[in-house]
Amino acid sequence: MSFTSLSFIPLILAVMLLYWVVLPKRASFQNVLILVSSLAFVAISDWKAATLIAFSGALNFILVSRMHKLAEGNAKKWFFYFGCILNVALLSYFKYLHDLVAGIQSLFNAEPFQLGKIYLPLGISFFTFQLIGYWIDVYNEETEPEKDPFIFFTYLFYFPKFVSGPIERLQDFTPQLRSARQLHLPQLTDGMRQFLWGFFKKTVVSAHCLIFYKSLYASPDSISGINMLLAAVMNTIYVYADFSGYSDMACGISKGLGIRITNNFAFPFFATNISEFWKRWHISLTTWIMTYVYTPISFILRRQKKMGTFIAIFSAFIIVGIWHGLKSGFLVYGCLQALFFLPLVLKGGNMNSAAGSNASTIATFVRMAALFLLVCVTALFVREIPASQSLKEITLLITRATQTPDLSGVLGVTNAICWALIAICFGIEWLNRKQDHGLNIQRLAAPVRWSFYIFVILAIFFFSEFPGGGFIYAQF
Amino acid sequence: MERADIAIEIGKILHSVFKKEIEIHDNLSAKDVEGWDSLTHMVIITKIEDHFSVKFKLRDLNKLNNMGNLLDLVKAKIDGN
Repeated sequence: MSFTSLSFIPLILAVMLLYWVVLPKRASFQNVLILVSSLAFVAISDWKAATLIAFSGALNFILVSRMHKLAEGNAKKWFFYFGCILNVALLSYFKYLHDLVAGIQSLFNAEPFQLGKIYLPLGISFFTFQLIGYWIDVYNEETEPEKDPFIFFTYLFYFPKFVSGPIERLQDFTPQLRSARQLHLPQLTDGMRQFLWGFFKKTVVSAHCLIFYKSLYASPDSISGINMLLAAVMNTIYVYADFSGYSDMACGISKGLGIRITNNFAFPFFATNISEFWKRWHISLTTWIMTYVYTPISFILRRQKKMGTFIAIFSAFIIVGIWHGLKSGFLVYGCLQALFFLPLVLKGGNMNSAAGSNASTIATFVRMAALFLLVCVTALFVREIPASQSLKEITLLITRATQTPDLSGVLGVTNAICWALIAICFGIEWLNRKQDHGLNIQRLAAPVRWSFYIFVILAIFFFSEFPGGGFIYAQF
Repeated sequence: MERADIAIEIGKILHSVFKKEIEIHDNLSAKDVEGWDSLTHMVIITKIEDHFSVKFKLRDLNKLNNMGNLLDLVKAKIDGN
């Protein structure tokens, strides 16, 4: 079941009604309703995944508690390694085994051994990363093991974040479940605004960019350099609008339930350097990798100074690549992102800098545009095609840069609408770039606010497309 | 070594890293100091280890939220706790 499906809207409204109006305002009632709704949502979407996660969650719940009771020493350390490997093995089986076998076969030109297509459980990367983080946090004494299985399973199955994240840490999420949530109207309305904005990005902007991208990409062998670049741009905006649209809907629904989850995007295309971009793109994944991959490696290698930092960054981005899958393109993508950090590491510059992107100077816009194009071109590797094919396209983009573009694939009414929608989307996000989401316009006067709402609703009414209805990142 | 003396020494270390005076207080965090990023964080940690002849564990560092935690940690390490 998707957030944009017709059956979801009445269901979520019914849950909200029960949650805020019918049930007593007690944490236990609210948590039971959330858990039951979440189980139903996941089971309707993918009952096999629900069963798998129930077993995996129960096993992890028991094992982490057991590990915590062990005295410090080798036994505890090996128990911890065992738990992490168990989760990695589960993820590897479902997500990587097929690609791994295919990769080994092509590497050694081995006789093709047909490994049947392995079923990929919904949300497996997201819940596995959460569970690995849980093992590490308990082992490092950053949190106590959860004692209440209802709270633990509510955390794992929580439906707004189940399909495509955000990847939440247990200790950030569960305290919100321990006390009763009170209806706070400004939060509820802001949740509705954020949901509306996500719905618009997903069903209008993303859908139109996908159509545009497919029309440009229809004949990749004869495509001009400019058209190839446009295809790369449309592909990137399509992914952004889809995934950030999903994330806005997830945050909006969660706000509606009085529970805060991580905003996965913070206007990444307004970043002016690569470090800043990765602090704004898929924030919960980069935070996870920063916490559990980058920091430990950079700590171990701290005496190696810049070399140590670069090895840590490289390792982190290899994980970012692998997170998408074991295809060659994903690994190349990870390596390229790490390489883009090299100048910052060598310069010893400030990698936390977010300054500049809020200023409207020409230099800022030039830096943003340059970074945006770099992101678009490298994102060509994040597709279900071999890296060699993406490389060929990038080569075409460069070698055919001066070739006359085929304007029939760029202009036209449908594409003009797409350009207008993109401009409106980014224009509104730019106006609200200091807020937590693109349609956080509470500060504006009521007539202006309502103009925005009516415009977005009309845009959804007239321009929404539902190609398949699913979300790209559900496959990861 | 007293906690206040440790604070003075860490102030000197931060001055050598950021090339400017940084007021040390318990609530100071990396977010308050421009340029205190993940790269400089490890530089600062290494300098503190060398200066006080102590060795941190990653587990110790993960629990640090502000300067007050860091001062307590360094004092505990110096005192051999």
